[in-house]
Amino acid sequence: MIKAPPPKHRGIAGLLLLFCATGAVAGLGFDLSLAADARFGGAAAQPGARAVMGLGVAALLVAVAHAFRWMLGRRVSHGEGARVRDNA
Amino acid sequence: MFAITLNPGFVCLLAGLLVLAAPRAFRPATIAGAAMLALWLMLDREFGAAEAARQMGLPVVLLSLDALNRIFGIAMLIALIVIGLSSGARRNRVEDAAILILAGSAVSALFVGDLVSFVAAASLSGLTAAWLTFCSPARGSAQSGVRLLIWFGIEGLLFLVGVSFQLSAGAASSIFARLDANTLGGAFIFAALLFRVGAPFAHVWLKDAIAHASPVGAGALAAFSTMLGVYGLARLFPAEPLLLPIGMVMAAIGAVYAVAEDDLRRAAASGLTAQTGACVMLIGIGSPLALAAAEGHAFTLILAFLALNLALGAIFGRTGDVRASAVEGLAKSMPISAALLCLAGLAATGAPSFAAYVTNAIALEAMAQWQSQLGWIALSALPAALFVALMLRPALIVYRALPGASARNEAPFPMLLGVGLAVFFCASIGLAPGWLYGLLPAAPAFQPFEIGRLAPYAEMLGAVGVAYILMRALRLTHKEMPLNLLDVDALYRGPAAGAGRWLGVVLLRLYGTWRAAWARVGAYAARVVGRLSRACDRPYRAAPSAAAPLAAAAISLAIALLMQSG
Repeated sequence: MIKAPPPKHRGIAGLLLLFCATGAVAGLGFDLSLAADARFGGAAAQPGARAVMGLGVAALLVAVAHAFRWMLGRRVSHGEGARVRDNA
Repeated sequence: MFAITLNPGFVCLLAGLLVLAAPRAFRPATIAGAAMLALWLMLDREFGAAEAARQMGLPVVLLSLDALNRIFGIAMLIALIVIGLSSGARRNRVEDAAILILAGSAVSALFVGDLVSFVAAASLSGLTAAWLTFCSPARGSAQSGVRLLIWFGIEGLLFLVGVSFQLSAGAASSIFARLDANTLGGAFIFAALLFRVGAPFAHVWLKDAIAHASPVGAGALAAFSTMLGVYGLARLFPAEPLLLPIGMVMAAIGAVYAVAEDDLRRAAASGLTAQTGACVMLIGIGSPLALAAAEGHAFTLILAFLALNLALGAIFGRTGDVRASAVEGLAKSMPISAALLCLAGLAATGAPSFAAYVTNAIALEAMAQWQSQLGWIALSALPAALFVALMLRPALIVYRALPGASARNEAPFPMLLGVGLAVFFCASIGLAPGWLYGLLPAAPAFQPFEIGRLAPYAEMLGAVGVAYILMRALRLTHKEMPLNLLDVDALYRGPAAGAGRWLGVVLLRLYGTWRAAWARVGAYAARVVGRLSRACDRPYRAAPSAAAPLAAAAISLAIALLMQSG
């Protein structure tokens, strides 16, 4: 008898990735189709530049978060923020 | 004669006293009812100032209604209704009273028409914010409350000095109108308002307070504290050039801490600081469109961050911890709370179809009109950063797939109702922004969902989302582990606190030595005085030796008489 495999546990990452990719592709498509519009914001406002800005923001945030946590992070034990009395 | 004008905030202040005696079942209704009554009082009145009374030669205007304070008042009172509905989840009459007095003092400060009354109401709201933190059951809330008292004590001192300088120029300077930050009085009031909005170096009080507040208290602090500072800056210091760089730094600091913090309530507070920075930048520009954008953005932020803090509070109330490292896979046991957390995160980010998007669109237009390229880039990038910090990261954490089943342990219904209602307000305003635009002082004819605005925005949020999720999948992002991030407060909670403790010990020892020395001197003096007293106060006793001086005196007298007669 073949033992049934354990049920798969899925997170939400795939769904979120689909959601974000749809937004990015649709936004980029419309943005490029409106390329003739005059825009304020210099290079950051050119068609497609907002997608590049988004990629840059993500990379910058990840890098800065690493740096902040490395430089300023102090380990604590779990439950330090827990409530101590329940008056709820 | 002094006639009391019914400022809408006074209703909440009176209700705050009433709930102290009200039974539990009536308290949520009292909070929501007071907010609705105050809302009715506000909307029922025409714009303009009520009759001014004079006290000590100064005009006291307890009610002055205009478009600027009306929009803040509506947002705060709607927030109070939501908080009232959420309050049914707990029994803490003192906290209910603190929330009502905090809201009442903030709303009173919005509607007063003179500087002294504004400072009084703003200071009361600061004190009540500390009281609210003291009411929290979270560990360390008492220490956090003391720190908050110190922050607001300094702020109150700055207000007091500023108002004193203003009044020294004459009673007319008490009118609540635009001030000059280059004058001495104006500079002190400006500094006090920067404390309140959480400007760089003062940004720590908000996350310290929110991280230690109760589930509902955190929402109240987010709704009624910093936004009063935004109102004060919009009223007193519009077009102050210094506000533009200050706002940019607030946005940058807030965004970075929001991503890096482990405690999600601290991350939410940092996100609020970042969005408040956007409002501060717009006030610094000061054009009619920028001011309208700042006011509209403040309106939407009050509701969005109320929703986010209530959602996090709902989780905190159940689990006792909202550290990112402690809530992994939480959606199994709290599915509704997790879903509401994601929606509230979208609302706080300013995702399209939520209220903050429509005000962010006006803000970008105002920046473009002002030709402020750096400000425009900062405002454009901020929603992307907050989308990662307040929506994607929490969603990936709480929906993380973990093996094993978890028992359902959903948050209490009133909390879910409160979050749901706040999210509903954000979504309904976001989908039909016309009535919000109608409330703005300079009602703009604006189409936020025009494809030229919507497409780049969606493109940026989508791109940042894809990049972050892929980096997380590749394990390039930081690992969630329990840690505290040091901030400016580490200085006064770390080395400065240590130095203070050391100084206190030294001073106590000096005091003890001085007390002991003084006691010894006193005892010695008492002994000397006692001995002298005993010597002087000795009772007369007839003794043979005592006759000798008398005999000597008699003999001397006899000799003198003989010599006289001879």
